[in-house]
Amino acid sequence: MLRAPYRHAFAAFLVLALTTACFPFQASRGGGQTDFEGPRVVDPADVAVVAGFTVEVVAEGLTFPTGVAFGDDGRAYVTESGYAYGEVFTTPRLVRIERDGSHTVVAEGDNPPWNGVDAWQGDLFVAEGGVLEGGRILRITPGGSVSVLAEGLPSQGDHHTNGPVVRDGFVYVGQGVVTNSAVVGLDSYGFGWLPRFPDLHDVPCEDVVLVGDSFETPDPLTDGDTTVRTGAFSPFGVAAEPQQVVRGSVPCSGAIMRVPVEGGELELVAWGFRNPFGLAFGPDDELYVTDNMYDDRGSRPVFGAGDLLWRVVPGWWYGWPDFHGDRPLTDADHYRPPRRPAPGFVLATHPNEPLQPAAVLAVHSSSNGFDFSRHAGFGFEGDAFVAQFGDMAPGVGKVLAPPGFRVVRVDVGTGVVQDFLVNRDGSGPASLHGSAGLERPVAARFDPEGTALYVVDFGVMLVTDEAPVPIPGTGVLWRVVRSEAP
Amino acid sequence: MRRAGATAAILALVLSVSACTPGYRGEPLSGPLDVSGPLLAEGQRSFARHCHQCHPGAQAGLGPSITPSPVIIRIQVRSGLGAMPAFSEERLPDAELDALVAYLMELSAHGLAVRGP
Repeated sequence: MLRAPYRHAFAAFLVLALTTACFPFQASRGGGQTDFEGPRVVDPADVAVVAGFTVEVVAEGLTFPTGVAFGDDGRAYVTESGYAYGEVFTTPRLVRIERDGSHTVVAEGDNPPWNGVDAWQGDLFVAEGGVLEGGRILRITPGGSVSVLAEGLPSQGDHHTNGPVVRDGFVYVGQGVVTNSAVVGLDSYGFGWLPRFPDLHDVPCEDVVLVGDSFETPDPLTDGDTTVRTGAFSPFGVAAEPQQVVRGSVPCSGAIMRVPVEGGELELVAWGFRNPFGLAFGPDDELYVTDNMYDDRGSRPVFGAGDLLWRVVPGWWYGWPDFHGDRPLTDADHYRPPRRPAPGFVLATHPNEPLQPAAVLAVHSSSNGFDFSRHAGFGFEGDAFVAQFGDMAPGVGKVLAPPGFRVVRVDVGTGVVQDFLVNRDGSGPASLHGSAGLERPVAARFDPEGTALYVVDFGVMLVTDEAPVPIPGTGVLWRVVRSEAP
Repeated sequence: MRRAGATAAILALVLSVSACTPGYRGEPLSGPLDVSGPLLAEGQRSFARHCHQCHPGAQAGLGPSITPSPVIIRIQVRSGLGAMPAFSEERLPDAELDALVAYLMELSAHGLAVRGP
């Protein structure tokens, strides 16, 4: 018989086991796992913000908005994606938000998604995701004239060309990887692109050497019951060989690249990212990037990898597909999905030792566009304000409650993350609660004066067991301003 | 009789754990938490480094919300139950764990003070 102190400890242990060890058997409760009947109604009263600020609605009725920037006229320009997960295609557009909240179309495209915009010397610079024809970087005049600065970025897979930021005569973009963790699999079929591009795979920025493991799956591209083996950085159905060298080239997957504002050759800035979505220069003049981390899906699923905010060191490799921050995925106690094998390394050698991120954000929060506060009148100078799109569970893996669907404030010196803008009714999007608050914040940017934070809300995106269901016309542009002096 | 007593003890513990209502709500809903003291500041940084990604703001996300009980937190951190990994003393030293526990208890109490239990 155990003595009393040990009995208590054992009982506590038992309680914990009962309440936490059943994760594999609990249902997913993602923010998109709900119903929605339009039209979307918005009301700032349903949004809670840190004391001393007020929330306003600037514009409604946008379709899949992804970014905002300000022209020389001081007006806001918003990119509408033209594509959303779930294989929903509309028209990518750059729209100007008029003072009465109405939208005027400045330019349209035909190679969506348009994933973000920045402004410089009166022109707008757009990251064209290029899910059909590959990514491009566009320069658009306020009159709507479009020129292509760079093209051929590898954007036809899971992730696209994202988040431009202009600095010192260069346009910087983030290029997402084709897959979840370097292996084309059944999840690629589910995304919709594998039938379109059966030979597509990730391309490293420099030569890499593979361990040589391959992953067996059914072959959804054939009618029979055949199976195939697929290696990392390889087309679907092509196995890897031990010590196989995969040649690197630029443009490449999972990288930050830049091109002169007048156009020219793409240059590599840094690589080894997964989906570098939001880019911004900090008050220290360093480049920062948000990186959407691994999902629990596909042939090489990874569990429990929070999104990262990086301070970018030029030339560095940031760990994808074998690390999460500075931790190896072979740390099985952390990264092994329930009832699945632990991920092993796919690279035989690593280009350099990965760094510690500036901050670790919530798993599956989809931490995206962000900006730094620079004005004492707004407060929190030097902090990053990050828009979190929210989870896509259950497709990306299970969650017990919806992460994201808010704007968080990050102290990049300490890594501390705190809520700044949330729904008053609780976690998850407004559609989950039947309220009129935030749905899916995807970008945040200060106005040129630095006294107002604009938040781009993508709108309603439901997620079923089969696919995401984005709802056109539900996007909103919010604004947060000071109501009391800091 | 002895078995009934043990069952009652476990049931009582379950109820006591259930009574540890988390008060975590975040600054927009509960106002700022004063972490100017070195212990709470260290605990806040430790939480950001180790816990926030699965328990954002100590609330549920990938994992459940954190039970605001020092005993439960310590056992969970060191043992790593279910889907949660264990944190060794090398990875999370005892002094840092003390700060982490202090921060979480303060964070929960702060939220409850605003909302009420």
